[in-house]
Amino acid sequence: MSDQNSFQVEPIDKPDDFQAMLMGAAIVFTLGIISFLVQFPCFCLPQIAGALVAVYWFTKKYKVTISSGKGIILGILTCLLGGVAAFIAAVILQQFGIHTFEETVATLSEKIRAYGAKSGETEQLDKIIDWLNSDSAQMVLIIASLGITLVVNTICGVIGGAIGAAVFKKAPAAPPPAE
Amino acid sequence: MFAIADSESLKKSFVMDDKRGRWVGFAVSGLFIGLISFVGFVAVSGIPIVGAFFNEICHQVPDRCYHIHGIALPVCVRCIWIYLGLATGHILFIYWKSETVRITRALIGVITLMILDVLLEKLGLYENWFWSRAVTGSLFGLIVSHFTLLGLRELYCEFTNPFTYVRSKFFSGRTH
Repeated sequence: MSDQNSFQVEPIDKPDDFQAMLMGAAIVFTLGIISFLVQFPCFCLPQIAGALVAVYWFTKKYKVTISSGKGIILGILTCLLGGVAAFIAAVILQQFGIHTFEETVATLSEKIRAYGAKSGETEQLDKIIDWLNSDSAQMVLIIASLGITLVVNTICGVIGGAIGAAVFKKAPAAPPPAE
Repeated sequence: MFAIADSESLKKSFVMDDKRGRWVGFAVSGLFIGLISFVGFVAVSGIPIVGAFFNEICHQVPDRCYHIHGIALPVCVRCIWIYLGLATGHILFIYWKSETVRITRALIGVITLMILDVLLEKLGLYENWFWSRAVTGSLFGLIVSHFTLLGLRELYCEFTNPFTYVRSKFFSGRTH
């Protein structure tokens, strides 16, 4: 058989981090959706928990110790995967009438009115509230929320991945080199 | 997607090029100082619509936030002190070479303290102590920055020369 028709076989023990990433992302997604449904914010905990689980799963399965940098990459990818999936699911749920965009706007408008009552800048704030109730506001807010989701998930992925890499060690680390 | 940390890459994390990687700590610290300044700006300028976006990362309960001119900051006391801890720690750990094992133990201790702080307050042993949240938050940020700095500097060193990185990643082992 010629070389062109032959196929390459992956080594059996080649570590695949995608499974670990999926495990972590599932945690981020599940906790994110639950917090959306019950309207109880979990802040950064789902992301950090997801990144920790991903690193733990990876180090346990392959009995390896990964460096902080690799942990950070795994953490970021895990959180982005789970976070973006949860964000898309939340937007879809809103379209089906669960915690709709109008409810979010009403809450936001209430906060703005409360601030206006303190500061006295009612005219400007009324304009903001009018804009929030317009059709164009929904798309702008969704895009802004997606941007914030990406930033938050990246930062939490860095923190979770770095902590996970330091805490979950399954193989002896290399000794520091001689001076 | 990535290989196991072999002895070479682990060795690299020990022998971090101080001068090359130093600015990473300053940059991250600057980012967090910028974030704290932005939080203050949001409160002072009174843009509730911007402040509302912080509700993804913080509960924003006014009783648990610092106030500027009677207006609550969009993040709580603990969050502010975590950011401050992260800003300080990313500079501190550039110069202070500490053992990762000790810092890991300290991290577990601080997380335990933070959980205890939340639980004891929920049990009603004390009410709304700003200082306990400030202490646990700042310590958490400070300690976490050791790990993030280590990893970010390693990534920086790996990615400094993109051509070398791409060559090693995709063309290693090819002879033609």
